[in-house]
Amino acid sequence: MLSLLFKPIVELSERWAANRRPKGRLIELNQRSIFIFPTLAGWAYLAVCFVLYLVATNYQNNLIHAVSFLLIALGVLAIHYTFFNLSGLCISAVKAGHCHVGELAEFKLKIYANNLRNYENVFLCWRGERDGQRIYLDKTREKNLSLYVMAKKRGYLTPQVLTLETVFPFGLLRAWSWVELDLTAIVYPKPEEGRLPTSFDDSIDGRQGKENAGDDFSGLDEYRPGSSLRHIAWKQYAQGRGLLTKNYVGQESKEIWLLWREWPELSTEDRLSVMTYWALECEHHYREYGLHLPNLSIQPATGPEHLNNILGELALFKAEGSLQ
Amino acid sequence: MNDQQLTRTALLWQLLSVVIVTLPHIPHLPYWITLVVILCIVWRLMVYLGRWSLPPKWLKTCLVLAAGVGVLASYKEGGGISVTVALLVVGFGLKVIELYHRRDSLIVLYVAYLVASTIFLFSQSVGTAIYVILAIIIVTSALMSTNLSRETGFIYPLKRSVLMLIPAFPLMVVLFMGMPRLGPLWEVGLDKSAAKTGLADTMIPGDITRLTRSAEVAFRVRFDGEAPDQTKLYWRSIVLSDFDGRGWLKDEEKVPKLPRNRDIKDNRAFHYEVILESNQRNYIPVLDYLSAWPSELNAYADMTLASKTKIVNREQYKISSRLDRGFGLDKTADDFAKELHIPLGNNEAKRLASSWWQESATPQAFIDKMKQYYHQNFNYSLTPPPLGDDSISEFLFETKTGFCGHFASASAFLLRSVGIPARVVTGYQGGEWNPYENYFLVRQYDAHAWIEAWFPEQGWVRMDPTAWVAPDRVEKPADDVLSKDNAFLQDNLLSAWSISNNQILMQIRHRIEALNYGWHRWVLNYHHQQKGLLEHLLGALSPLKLALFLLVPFSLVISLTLLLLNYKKKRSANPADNMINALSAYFAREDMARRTGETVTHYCDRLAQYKPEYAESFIRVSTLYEDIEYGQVCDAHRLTQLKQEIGYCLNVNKNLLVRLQWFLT
Repeated sequence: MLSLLFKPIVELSERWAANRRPKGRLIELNQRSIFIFPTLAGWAYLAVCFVLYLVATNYQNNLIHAVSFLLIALGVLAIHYTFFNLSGLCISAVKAGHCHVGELAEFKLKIYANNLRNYENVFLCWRGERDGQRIYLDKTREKNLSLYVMAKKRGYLTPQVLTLETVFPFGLLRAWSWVELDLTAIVYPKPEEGRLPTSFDDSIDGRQGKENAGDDFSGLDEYRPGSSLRHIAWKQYAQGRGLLTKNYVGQESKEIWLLWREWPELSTEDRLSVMTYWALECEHHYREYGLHLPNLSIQPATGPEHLNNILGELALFKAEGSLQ
Repeated sequence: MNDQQLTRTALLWQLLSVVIVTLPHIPHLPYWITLVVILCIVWRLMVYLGRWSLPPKWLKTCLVLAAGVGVLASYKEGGGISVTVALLVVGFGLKVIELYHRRDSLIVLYVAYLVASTIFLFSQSVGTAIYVILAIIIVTSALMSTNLSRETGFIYPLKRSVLMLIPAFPLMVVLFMGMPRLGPLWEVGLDKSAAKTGLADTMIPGDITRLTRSAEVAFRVRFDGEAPDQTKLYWRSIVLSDFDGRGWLKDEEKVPKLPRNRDIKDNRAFHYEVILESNQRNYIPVLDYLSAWPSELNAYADMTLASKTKIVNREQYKISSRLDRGFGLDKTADDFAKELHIPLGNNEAKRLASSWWQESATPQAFIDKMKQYYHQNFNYSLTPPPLGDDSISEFLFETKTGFCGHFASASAFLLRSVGIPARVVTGYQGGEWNPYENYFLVRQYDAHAWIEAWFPEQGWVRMDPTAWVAPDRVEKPADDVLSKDNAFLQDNLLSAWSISNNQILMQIRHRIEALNYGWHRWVLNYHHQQKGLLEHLLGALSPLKLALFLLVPFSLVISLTLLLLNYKKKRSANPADNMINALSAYFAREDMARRTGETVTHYCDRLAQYKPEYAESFIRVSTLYEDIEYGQVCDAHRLTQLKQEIGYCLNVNKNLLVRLQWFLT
């Protein structure tokens, strides 16, 4: 009943706060975006000042008056100190890490300040998330940190508003700021094992023990980042010849197509999950693989970039908030 | 956010603040409370060191219950502030054991603020004030340490809170000066009366010995304009007209009130201000004849002034007196049944009086005979032998030794025996003049007793029999005279230095006393000065003016603080940039300043062309700058190199001063 009464007020203030929220990739906190209000401890402190004032008045004790005035003055100054412990902080969006559904998406931020003040005990968290991080800036003028958000749905993941708050120095007031960082992660479908695609070589199923049985060893290549760990020539590495990869003839020739129509018995989401699984498996085995979805197709290739490309398409396929 | 765990530094600060605020309370707390607090602190320290573990819940509950019962038992009678302080100290002492989260420490620290301020209910000296300021700084540091998210050095919270407290002090002074003070909202009592000395409502010769041994301050007096002679400073406090054979009592009947005198601008009156220490009684020492007094006080026909309630705090009153005017002139001899009453006994004394009376023609001759008698055989002493039932006769004929009380008592008795109305007045005599602040300091050892006799034409006439025996006692301050007596200040050996006759010590003492007087007048009793001071500063007071008086300095101090905080913002955070700016500023004289938007590399190239002999240095500067700024290798070594290179470049004109300046920054 009461909440119904306050609903319009809450909505109005929400809208007002949302309008004031700074948005972008680089945000400097200033008086426009910082809110400040006493904490419970702050109200208690006020009560202590009041009790002291009463005692002083009743005992006609000017020294206790002085103490109560000192504490009141300190409380008033604390408003400014708390504000300045947030004002001037710059938050820059560095990078969003992509992940699968059910994992934590990592958002990398850089916090720095363009002044020489020390910043103590600033708490950062995404609104709605329970965990956050406390940071301080002293002589090191910048901090890199990662905040995580649980990915619940595939597609674009734009975290809620970022809350920065501080109660430093005395815990009497809480200054906070809500900012909307222009930072979006792509959440890939959750990989789920399913039927093999038809173009897939049978041998991959029995890969344990007789790896790459159908291929012929053709020589050693220099290791390139992204090559499968299974192909590393460990013997040669142990001999001190550096990281090399074993090359097999015939491997490249086998192209695998992940076709949308191959799993007609599954729902859209399950299909995407299975395709994700096989895309990962192929990448893992250094096979070339292509993707075919109702609205697009990607030519077979291999490598992390290719994988990201394919996973991205799978993630955004008919997803909410996607451009298609 | 609230269940953040305390850091180790924070915990040490909590313990320190508990110790600091409890220390001054130890003398007036039951000893077991101190023990409980020490136990709790030691326990928490052992937990901190990892030796013991936190106590189980049932033990904590038991401790709390036991302590509560203990406090109630220790203070069976009399509540008041002592119990409150005891409860607060026990409470936050016990809370120390379970200091673990931030929330626990908040309770401890807020109570610590309260306990620190209650120190002022027991002592208000300058030293105490300094101590409490230190205590508040420490509690504030502890409060800050709970709000730090990381382990810092032990001193770090102290450093930062002192910096944050500095602007709070001017604000406090402004509030202190401008905030209107209210009267007490409800009746409160301070139960520390036992420790206080003051004049009693009765005088049985022998009692004032106790007073004479105390160097406590009774009151201070500041005269507007000239002060009367030392010998005229008889501060009357209590008039004792009831004699029961051994002791003198205050009149039980109500003494009529003195009508208020409208004529305040009396040129012959002395105007003075009495700052009275708490005496737990109603009397206020005044000079006779009273001509003006504050409306909240009652003046009585026996020329005494009294407050309507007990004086439990230091009070301040503005009073005017006419020393030359007699009083009681409107009475006749018939009005003095009480002042003539003499109980049975002391027959020898009565006979002595009547024999003198027969020999003398006038009352003055009788008084002269009395003086003569005292002169011959009597001694002034602070440790007179005890007296029996016929105290007057024994004193006059056997012991012949006593102090003011004995002489006053005997003289009043002799006067009454021959039909002259007489009574004893107790109060203080003289005072110590402080040349630096121009006031008299009257101590408890200045307490004195004298008599008043009534004559038809003159009214009440003051006589001081003690002065007949020991004239020094009146002419010089009491300490000069009494210090020769071993019994003087026997209870107070420490203050013996304060009555030393050494010239330098005397000066130092007066300086300290003057400071103390200022402290009493301008700080402890500020509410009495407030109106006058504000009117002096602002002219006629109005709420608007007062509000401005509070707001203007307030906003000034806050703006200044903000400016200081923002000043740090103005400086570029990058030392390499600062150096390039210095370089540019130097060459600006030769019209070779760095242009807006010009890269450092380009600028250095330009400089290298301008001063080819230093080209190599300029190239090195640009390389180093690039390394530092963009190569993510901003280490101290490279910065020093850059500084040296630029220093070399600046040295183009071989200007030693520039060079010195450069390396000093």
